[in-house]
Amino acid sequence: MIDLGLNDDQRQLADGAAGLLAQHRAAKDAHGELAAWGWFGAGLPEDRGGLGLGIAGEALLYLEAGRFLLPPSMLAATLAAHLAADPLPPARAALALVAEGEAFVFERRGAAQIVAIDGDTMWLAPAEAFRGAPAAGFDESVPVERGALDRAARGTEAPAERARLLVAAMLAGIAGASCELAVGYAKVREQFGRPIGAFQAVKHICADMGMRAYAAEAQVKMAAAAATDAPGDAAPEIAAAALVALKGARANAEDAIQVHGGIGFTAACDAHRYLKRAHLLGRMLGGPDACRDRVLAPGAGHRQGGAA
Amino acid sequence: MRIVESAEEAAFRQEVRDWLGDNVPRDRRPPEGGAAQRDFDVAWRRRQYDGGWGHIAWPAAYGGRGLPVARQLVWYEECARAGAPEHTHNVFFVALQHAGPTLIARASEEQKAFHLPLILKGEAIWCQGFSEPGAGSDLAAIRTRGEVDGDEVVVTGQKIWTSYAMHARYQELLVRTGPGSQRHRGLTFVICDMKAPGIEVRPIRNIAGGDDFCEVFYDGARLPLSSVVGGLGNGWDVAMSLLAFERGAASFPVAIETAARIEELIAHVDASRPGRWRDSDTGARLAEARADAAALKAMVHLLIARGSPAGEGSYVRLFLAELTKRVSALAMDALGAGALDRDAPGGWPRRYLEDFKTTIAAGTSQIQRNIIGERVLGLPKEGGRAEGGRA
Repeated sequence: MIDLGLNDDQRQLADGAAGLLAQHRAAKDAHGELAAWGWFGAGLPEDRGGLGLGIAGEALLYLEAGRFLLPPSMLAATLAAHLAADPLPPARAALALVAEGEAFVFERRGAAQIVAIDGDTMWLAPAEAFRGAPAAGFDESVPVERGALDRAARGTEAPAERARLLVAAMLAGIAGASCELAVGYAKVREQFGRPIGAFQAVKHICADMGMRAYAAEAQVKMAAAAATDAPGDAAPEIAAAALVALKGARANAEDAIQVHGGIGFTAACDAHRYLKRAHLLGRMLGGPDACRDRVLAPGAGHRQGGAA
Repeated sequence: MRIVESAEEAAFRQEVRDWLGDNVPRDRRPPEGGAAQRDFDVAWRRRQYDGGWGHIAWPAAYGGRGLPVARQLVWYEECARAGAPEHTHNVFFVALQHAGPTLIARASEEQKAFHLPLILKGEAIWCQGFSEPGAGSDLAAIRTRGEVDGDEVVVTGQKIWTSYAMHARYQELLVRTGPGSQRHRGLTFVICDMKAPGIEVRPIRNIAGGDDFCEVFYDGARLPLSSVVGGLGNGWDVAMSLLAFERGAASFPVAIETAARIEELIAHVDASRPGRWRDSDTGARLAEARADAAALKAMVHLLIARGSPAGEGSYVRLFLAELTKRVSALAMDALGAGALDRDAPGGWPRRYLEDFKTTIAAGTSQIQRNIIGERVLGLPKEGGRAEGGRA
């Protein structure tokens, strides 16, 4: 049977992560704090010092990571821990996107290694393998450099599926958090003598946002369950999760700006942070076109349940 | 979070698959409404009952198998896989998807023992009697009266948008009984015998050409007081239970069938335009439809895992209704000129027209958004009206 509920370990992990990230908001160095908590070992087997909660556990962590806009370098460290067999916690890592003949490296400063997302694969490289210059990041909260990543220096390589599932989880988290932000505002902002959320024109936007967040969370959990219990069949579920979560995060972040009105257009409102992060993460998936291509890939058809 | 099929589940799935393989009707359901369609649905229902598949989840005492909802989903999946007649377009949809579940939850033992087996045997088609000319989305505005006279309820008024009323033996009827009754107070839910004198059914031609959509007139129709469900004056509460089924669990087979139809459409497009469609607008829309169908199924499972909290069923219903319409419109474009033949492959052109009802029935998409906004997200009501209305 399919059960998208959480078991006790998973519940504890998700609640713990949410608590940790809520506290962490003001802190500067996430890596140290998360490492001490055991974040980077959550999905690793216990004989490697991990918690043994697998990719499902990691997906739950990155749903929360998306909600709290945890920087991409944390995802890089989780992926690096899988790619390198080094002891935990993993060395500080930067996430890189290899696309269209160049590399975008995020948060390179202080990183010892780079995890490159390169089409359908991801690989590990030393930080020195990158040559480039800083650029004006579309998401200004994440420093970016553009340049070249020396492929000859690449180390361990693996399919990018784990990365795509965790990115989809972050996008689902963004879809949920931007919905909550808009709904919270619609309850307190008054115009025409009542909260704007009482007006159907606003309420219905919020309802659609809630629906998109629900869909994204559900499909991410389905994909995480498939990746755990039927890894050979997980690709179509991950592909669907990526597309649904990317669309949901983008649309919800856009709507969150609109629901806030004038304040939504200011840097003081968090809505733009969700929007910019959704774009950054969406590129890690190759954007909507690549997501659609994977959904239509041969063999990605919908299975009508059952292994038999 | 797991996807594991136990040995018992796998054996159950195989048993279902074997039975369906031998028993699914080879003929297609007649596309036009009317007696031929009704007879087809009745024969298929009877066949399931006789084969021991009257219902997966309903209690054994009433002819079901009493199995958990997970097994019910296996049944729906295997039906879709085997190309069995859909649960969605079926004269028993009301009886199986919301009348029956409401009776199981709210009716007396006598009512359950009488009605539930009749439904499963295919001997009682049901219809719904909620909407009226002046009460669509605003259900609490209904005016049809039920005067209590001795041990009878005497019904006078009119219902409308009643699918399959001309075939139905019973109706989920909501009437105003209480003296001084206003809005949702003083309503009563009564099982209406459609053969009672004083009831007249008139068909209404719908945009897809069918006339299974009806209006029903009641002129002093006398129903026994024993057919009231949940007690006099508690009709609103019973109706809300019913709508929770209609907006929640009734979506499960539809979700599974929608996913199967999207796969059929992709296969059709791939066969008729090999290699050329993936990079087109059609390809992009098909990709999104396939991903959305996967998400819809996942939403059903998330809803079940969360214990179906009030209002969350509307997430599934809204997503399903909007997806259904989007896919039918996409099929019209993907079929090319063939779409001008109502009976084109897959029956899509007719389906495209029929699917306009999905964002209207069981509460319009706008009402679903109100429910989500107010009951799930906790936004304030607009002007304090519209408590749980429907279309």
